[in-house]
Amino acid sequence: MKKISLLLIVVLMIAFTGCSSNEAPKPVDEEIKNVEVNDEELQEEKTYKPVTFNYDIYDNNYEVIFEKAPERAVTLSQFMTEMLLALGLEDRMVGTAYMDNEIYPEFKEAYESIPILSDKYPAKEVLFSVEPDFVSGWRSAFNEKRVASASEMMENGMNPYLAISIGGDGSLETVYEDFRDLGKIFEVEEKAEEVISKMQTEIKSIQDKVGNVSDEEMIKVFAYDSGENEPFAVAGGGISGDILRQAKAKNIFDDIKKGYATVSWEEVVERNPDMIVIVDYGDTDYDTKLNFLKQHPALKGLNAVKEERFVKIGLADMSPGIRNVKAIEELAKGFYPEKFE
Amino acid sequence: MKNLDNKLYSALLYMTLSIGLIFSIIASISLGAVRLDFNDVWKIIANKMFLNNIFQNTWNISTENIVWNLRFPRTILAIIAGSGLSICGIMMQALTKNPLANPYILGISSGASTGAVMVIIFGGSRLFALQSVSFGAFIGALFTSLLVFVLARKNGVFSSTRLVLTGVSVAALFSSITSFLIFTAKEVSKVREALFWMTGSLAGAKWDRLLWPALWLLVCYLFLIIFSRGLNSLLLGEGAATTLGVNTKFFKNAILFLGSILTGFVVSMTGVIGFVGLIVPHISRTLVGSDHRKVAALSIFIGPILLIWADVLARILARPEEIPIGIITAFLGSPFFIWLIRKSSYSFGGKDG
Repeated sequence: MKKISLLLIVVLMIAFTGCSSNEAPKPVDEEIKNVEVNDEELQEEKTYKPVTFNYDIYDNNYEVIFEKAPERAVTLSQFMTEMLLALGLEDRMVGTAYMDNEIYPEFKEAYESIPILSDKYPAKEVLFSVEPDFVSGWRSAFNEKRVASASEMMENGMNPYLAISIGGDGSLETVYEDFRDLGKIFEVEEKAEEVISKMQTEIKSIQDKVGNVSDEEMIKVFAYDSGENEPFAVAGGGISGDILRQAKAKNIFDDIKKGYATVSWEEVVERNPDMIVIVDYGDTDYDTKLNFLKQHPALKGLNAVKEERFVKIGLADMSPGIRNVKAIEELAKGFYPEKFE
Repeated sequence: MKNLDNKLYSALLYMTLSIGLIFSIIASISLGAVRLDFNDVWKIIANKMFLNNIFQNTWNISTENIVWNLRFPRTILAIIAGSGLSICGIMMQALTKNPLANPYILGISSGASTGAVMVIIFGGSRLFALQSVSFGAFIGALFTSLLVFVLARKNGVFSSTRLVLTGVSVAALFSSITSFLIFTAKEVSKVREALFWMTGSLAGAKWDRLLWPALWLLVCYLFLIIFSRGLNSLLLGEGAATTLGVNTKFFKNAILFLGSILTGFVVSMTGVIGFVGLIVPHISRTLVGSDHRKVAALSIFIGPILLIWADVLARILARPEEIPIGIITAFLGSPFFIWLIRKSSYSFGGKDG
């Protein structure tokens, strides 16, 4: 008993000293400083227009309000990293993660000035440790068992941001929309418009070179992502499908309103593409996929295989961002080489 | 003399395990993907525990968030899940009279996956009042065990064999429903992510989710302690138990009810963590024999210690990433388990003893 009461006394004493140190009066000049700071904050708020977003992340609909321009952004996917770098925001980024391919050459220097949190997804602690106020990436990152859920982020002062373009309705238009949104959030609206108009001009000049293509002339393509027993293909819904469209090709699976879809070899044979686009990424390299398609007995009769018409495209180029221009150019050159001579 | 030896043995055993558990908790809070100053960690905890600033705040806000909102609840979750899975393992092994039984044997993990996927596809807010994948998983788990419970009964009783086989079939059924839901979804990747909720991990720990599972765990533990003799006789077989005057029907229903909900709680918070619920009851039996009271008492120490260390390894081996905890529990657990059952005079209880 004696020991317990002794312990209690010690604990109480510690608690009291804690209290008293807390109640120490603040120095007067510190209070004045606080007032000044508040004034500055008020002025800042006047110029910044709060931006509100509604995201449907998995199970829940989150309303996220940006009340000031983020100062400490973290990007958890290559395309988001490159989108922010395209807007010249490297000074306001405190971490990047999860690269699929090499960084876009134009951004190499800026990219290397930002800490890399992890090769793939960082642990939740690692994200918290850099005290971000803006976190963005693919939807998969916003999972409490991957990096952190949107609500966990918001409870700890981080605003989650999800690009519209990664959804099932992504297109080149939504890429522009995303740039505009980021422009508003980070107060770099002019820069965003600059990026968008540069993309539009470049895409237009590619499309002008291809010129008008009638429905009959239009090349029929099958964009193969992966899969041996059943092909996983670019469908008509998302950004990748729109890139094919912008490069003036007719995607044979345009009728499926998903980003990507699992289809069947029978259907590929039935729809007989003139050309096959091979999406390149990850552990299975381009040549392996190419040989697989060439040697598949069911595909021998396809126009594309008979004439050996294949074109390679990187997955990163098909993800939302300024790389889409490069994707459209490479594809258009592959589809209509005669127009680029 | 023998009695005294036994008492000394258990006193030493529980003392060692208590010290082991405390040491594990300290390690679990101090270690992680981010290296933090050991002193800061414990000052933050002291401040939070006494709701007071005993120590001057000299650390970053992120350090405080990591310690108090991530690592501490995560360690508590490891304790709850570790003992929860072990208790469920004991219950299911007694219920099915099968030493291979684990907490998920009645198809609960499949049902939980289906529930999680459904929340994502149909939208939590429209389906339930609570909008969360974990809640969907919990409901899915409960629904599955209820279904098994109803289907495995015949004339008001259920045999152990029928229970296990029904569990396997219901699990297969729910897996196919999950696959179908994923197949027909508009955004396949979005839905496939739901399954990530089901892979074992303690990363989703949050303070506000810990209370109910902890209370339920306590109820289950008390049940095992109070009714240990009835449970012991279940292992002798239904006939023998009835001869001994044990109401087997009551015990089976109670175990199924308590165990399913406990597994449901654990699955909804941690996903499926293999091997813990299977091996911890066996480890305990090799130490104290097959009496359920002792097995349960020991398991609530061994389960947490095992899971805490598996989680510590999961967090630090691949910094700054995390390894799925199931890899570690199985990789370290299985060789140890094989060694254990080979070396000792092991008995599951009942006739084969």
